[in-house]
Amino acid sequence: MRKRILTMACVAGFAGFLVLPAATLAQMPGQQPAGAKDNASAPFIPHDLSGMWEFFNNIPGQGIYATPSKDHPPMTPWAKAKYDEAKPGYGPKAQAGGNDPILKCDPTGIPRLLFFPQPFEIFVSPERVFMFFERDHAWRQIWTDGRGHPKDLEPTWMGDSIGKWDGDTFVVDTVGFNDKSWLDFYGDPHSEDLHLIERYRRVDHDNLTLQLVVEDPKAYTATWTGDTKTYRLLKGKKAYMEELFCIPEEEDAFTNRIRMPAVGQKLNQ
Amino acid sequence: MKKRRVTPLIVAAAIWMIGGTVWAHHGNAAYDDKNPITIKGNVTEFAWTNPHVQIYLDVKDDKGSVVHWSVETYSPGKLVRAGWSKDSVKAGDAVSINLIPAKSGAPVGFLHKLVLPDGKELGLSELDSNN
Repeated sequence: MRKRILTMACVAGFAGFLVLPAATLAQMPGQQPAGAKDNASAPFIPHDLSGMWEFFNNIPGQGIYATPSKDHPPMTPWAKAKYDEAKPGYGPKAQAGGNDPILKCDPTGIPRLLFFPQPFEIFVSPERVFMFFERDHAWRQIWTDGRGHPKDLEPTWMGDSIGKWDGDTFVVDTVGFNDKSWLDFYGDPHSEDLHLIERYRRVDHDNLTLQLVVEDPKAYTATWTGDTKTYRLLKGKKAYMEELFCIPEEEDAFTNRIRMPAVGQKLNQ
Repeated sequence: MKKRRVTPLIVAAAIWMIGGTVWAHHGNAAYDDKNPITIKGNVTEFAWTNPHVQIYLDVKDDKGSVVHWSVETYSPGKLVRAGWSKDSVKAGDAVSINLIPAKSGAPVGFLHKLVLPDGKELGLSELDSNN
C-alpha cells in the first residue's frame, strides 16, 4: 500500500511539476515537506465531515480565489448586463480598483464563501450540519432531519439548505437566495432562481472534496457543473480560526494605505 | 532542436516557481507577480490587522534617498497558521522582504517572504510550517 502510494505520488509529482503551481504540489498526499506529519492515509469515517477545513485550489491557472469552474456557461442577457457592470479584482476581467460588493462589507454569501483561502469548521448536530466560516464570522445551517424547503422563502444571502447522504457523498441542496452577492471572485452573477447543489466527499482522513452544480436559468442558459475543489483538514495548532469580521473602517484604512497607493491613486480624505 | 525541447520545461518550471501560493492567493490585478524583488530596510510599523497584515518600512534607494514602502500580506489568522505572530516584527527591525511590487511603480508590494534580523525566515505557506 505504502509502495503504491509512493508510486502514485511520484507519477503525480512528475505530472504536477509540468502543469501545477508549487502550492498545489505541496498539497498532494505524500508531498508534504519533511517534518510535516502526513496522516492522509489514517483511518477515517466517510460520513464524519466534522473538523476545520481549508480551501486549497488545485486547478492550474485559476488561483485560489476561484469560481465554480474556469468557464461559465453562456449568460442570459439579464446576467450579461450584470456581469458587464462588475469590476472584479480577480479572474479574466481583473482590474485594479473595482466594485466588488465585499469591499464595502456586503455579506459574501454562498457559494462564494466556499472559495476563500480562510477555513471553515463543520459541526454536526443530530438534525443539522453547521458550517462556521472564519471569513466574515459567517455561518450556515443545513437541515438533515428530512424536511424539504419551505414554500415562499424570503430571499437571503445564504439561502435555505437541506442535506442528505448519497452513499459516501453528502449532498446539500440550497434555494432561496437573494441576487445581491456575486457568485464568485470573478464577478459572475446569480439570480434569486439560483438552485445550488454541493456534493461533499471525504476522500481520505485529510481531504474533503466538493463539486458544485449551479442551476440558474435566469442567469445561465445551461447547468454549470464546477471543477472538484479540495479542502485540507487543519490539525494541531493549525486548527485555529481567528475573528475575521469585515469592518468598514478596516477595509477603508486598507484601501487608503495599500489598495489605492498600489494603483497610483491618492488617499481618500 | 535541443533548445526547443528545453524551453517549455524552463517556462513550466518558471510558472511553477512563480505561480505558487502568492499568485494563487493574490492573482490581484495591482501586482506584478512575474517580477518579484527583494527590499531591505527598517520597519516603521507592523500592522497586525484585518483584512491584511501590513508592514511599513524605510528603504534606501540606489541614490541613498529613503523611500517609504508599504507591504501587505495575508490576514492574521493565515499568518498564524504559517508560523507568524503579532510580535514577529517590531518597529526598528532591520528586515529583508521579498515581494511582488505594484505594477504602477508605487513603493507598494505583496510579501512573499520576510527575513528577520536574526536570520529567521517567515513565509506564507501554511503547509511548510510545523508550528
